[in-house]
Amino acid sequence: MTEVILHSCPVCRTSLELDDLFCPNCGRESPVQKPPPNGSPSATLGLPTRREFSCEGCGASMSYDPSVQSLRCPYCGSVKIERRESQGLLRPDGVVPFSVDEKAVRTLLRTHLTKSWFSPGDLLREGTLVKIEPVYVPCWVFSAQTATQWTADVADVPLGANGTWRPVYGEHQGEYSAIFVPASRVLSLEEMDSLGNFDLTEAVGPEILEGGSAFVELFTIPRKYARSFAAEKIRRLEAETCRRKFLQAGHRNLNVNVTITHLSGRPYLVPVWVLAYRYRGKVFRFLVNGQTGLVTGRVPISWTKVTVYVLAAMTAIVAVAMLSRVLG
Amino acid sequence: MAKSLAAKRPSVPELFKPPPAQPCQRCGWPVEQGDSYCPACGLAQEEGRIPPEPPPTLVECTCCGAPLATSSTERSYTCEYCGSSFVFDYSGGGPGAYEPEFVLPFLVSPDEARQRIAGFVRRRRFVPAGLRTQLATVPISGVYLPVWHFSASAHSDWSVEIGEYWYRTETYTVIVNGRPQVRTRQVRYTEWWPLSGKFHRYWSGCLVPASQTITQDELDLIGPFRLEGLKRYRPEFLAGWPAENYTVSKETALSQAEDSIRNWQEEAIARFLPGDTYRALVVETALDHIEADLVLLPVYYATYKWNGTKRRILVNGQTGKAAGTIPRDWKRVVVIVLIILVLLVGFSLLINLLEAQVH
Repeated sequence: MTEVILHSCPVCRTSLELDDLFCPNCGRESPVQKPPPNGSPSATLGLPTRREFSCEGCGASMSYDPSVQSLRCPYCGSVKIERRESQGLLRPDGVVPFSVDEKAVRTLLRTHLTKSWFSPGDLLREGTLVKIEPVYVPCWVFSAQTATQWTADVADVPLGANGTWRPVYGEHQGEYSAIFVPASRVLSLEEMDSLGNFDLTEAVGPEILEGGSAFVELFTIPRKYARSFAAEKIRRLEAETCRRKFLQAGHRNLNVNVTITHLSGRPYLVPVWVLAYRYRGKVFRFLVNGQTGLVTGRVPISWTKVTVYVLAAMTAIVAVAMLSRVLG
Repeated sequence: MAKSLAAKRPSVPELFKPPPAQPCQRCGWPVEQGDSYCPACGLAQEEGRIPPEPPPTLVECTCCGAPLATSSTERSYTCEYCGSSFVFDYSGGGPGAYEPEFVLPFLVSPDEARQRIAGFVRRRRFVPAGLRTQLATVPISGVYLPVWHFSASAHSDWSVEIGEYWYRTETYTVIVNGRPQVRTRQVRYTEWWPLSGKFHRYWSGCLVPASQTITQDELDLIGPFRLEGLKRYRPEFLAGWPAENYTVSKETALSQAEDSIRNWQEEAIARFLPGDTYRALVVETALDHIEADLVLLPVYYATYKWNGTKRRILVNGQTGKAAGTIPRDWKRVVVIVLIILVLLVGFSLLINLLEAQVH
């Protein structure tokens, strides 16, 4: 993998790809880079016992264990898949192993389904878990440094001021790591965010993939496109950092001007359980962070329950209003 | 500085769905369609998208619209009327020894460009009768235009007075029916606070035409170009498409680009300020890491004559965005205005009549 990054930008120290003509971060022309000689020791991870498929339904490219019975796409459940010989996987810097097993996931889902006030009462009785698959999801994990100028209006005005707002200016230097951007064409950035962070210190070498039964999704989003998502995420985080650090009291109009430097991204595989839950003919997708057990996904809503709650709340309000009138 | 000289600020690139990529057959690195080799292991990839075929013959000078006396078999030509010179190949080492560094390949075919022109005219109002049919068969020429691309990093020190509004309830007296009456109202005042600071930003995508063929305004109108698509220049990219020689020196373009970037920086600082309003903004900007590159941008021209005046429509050869001047049929405008006036007058007369009846 190390041979992929040959240069960093002379202006902002962002790692450049071989095919970058300009630095994606600051726009500086990148030094001319020669393509690596054909047949150079590649960053491939050979997984000889595994095979690959592309799903025609959702477009996922997966490496799978050929001993698996009745192959379906773990994301969309489609059986329309194109099988092929294993071509080798991009060698990740690390693989975060599954630490939540299937039994635990079932319990977690049960809690998640009954947590909501509005979930139907028969959700557990009538619904069935139709699919529960472990998938190693490819990610680009970015790190960067930031230099920020910010302005805002704050409410703590000095004695004698007429108005309620006072302008302030400040600077901040930040450092970010573990910014996860999916390299999967199926999982969205929002889904990745809602899965929470993964602890990369627990990551192990990619050798554990061999012989495992989990699906391994292939990297299909080039790093150079993931970079812009990472930069956007870093800008949002930096604005929040400035807000937390400098603006505890009342404030408004926070503007941040974030300069990102030293942006670089490394490939990792992270563990995700993909669940499909069928309830009254509809399929609901849930994702479970295979390391922390965080469950995400929309729980079905019982409209009867919603109506009952709303009516009850309205009755209560009316009752209180009438009571206060009688008493007042 | 004249407003038309300032290059338009490129909009912040939206987050877009990346183009499809497939894992490299050997190492699994995601390789984008059209890449000629895997960026990770160097494995040669299948052919990418082939650029569209150029229009068959160049019949008019793209610069001034004069008929050309050359055949397309020649490798270069010069317009006798305006002196613009074009090449089909820079490798001859002609007068402009400065080779372009980057090229943005044509993605729009001549047929698509013609459709874009038709769509552009369709959206205009009061187009003279007959112009649409004339434009349906207008000769189109595609050319790689030389443009200077600048990037720079800008460091500013700024100082300003920020205005924060505050309100006071004040009483005032009015005379109602001959008696004084006391009323209250909210009056807005502005409190001024000094504020100063720094502002640092990288700027890129500043485009300045490197030939007289196109004005800054025209270039801005058919923009933005997705400069992520730039490829390092190779003679094969031209493959039958003419490219114009550059005539504007880097130094001339540079001063214009510096002005543009300073303007962008000042606008960005103005948007960055807190408060309700501001005054006396002073910005001191130092530019460094200024980079200039000669790039070739794909543009289609359709030159046509209307009532003896030469006009032209331009189409962005990458995105298909069309822009240009379309004559208005003033007779139609007058007729429409008259109809609206007659309707308004008639309506008010009718209302008057009805009111008179009521009373």
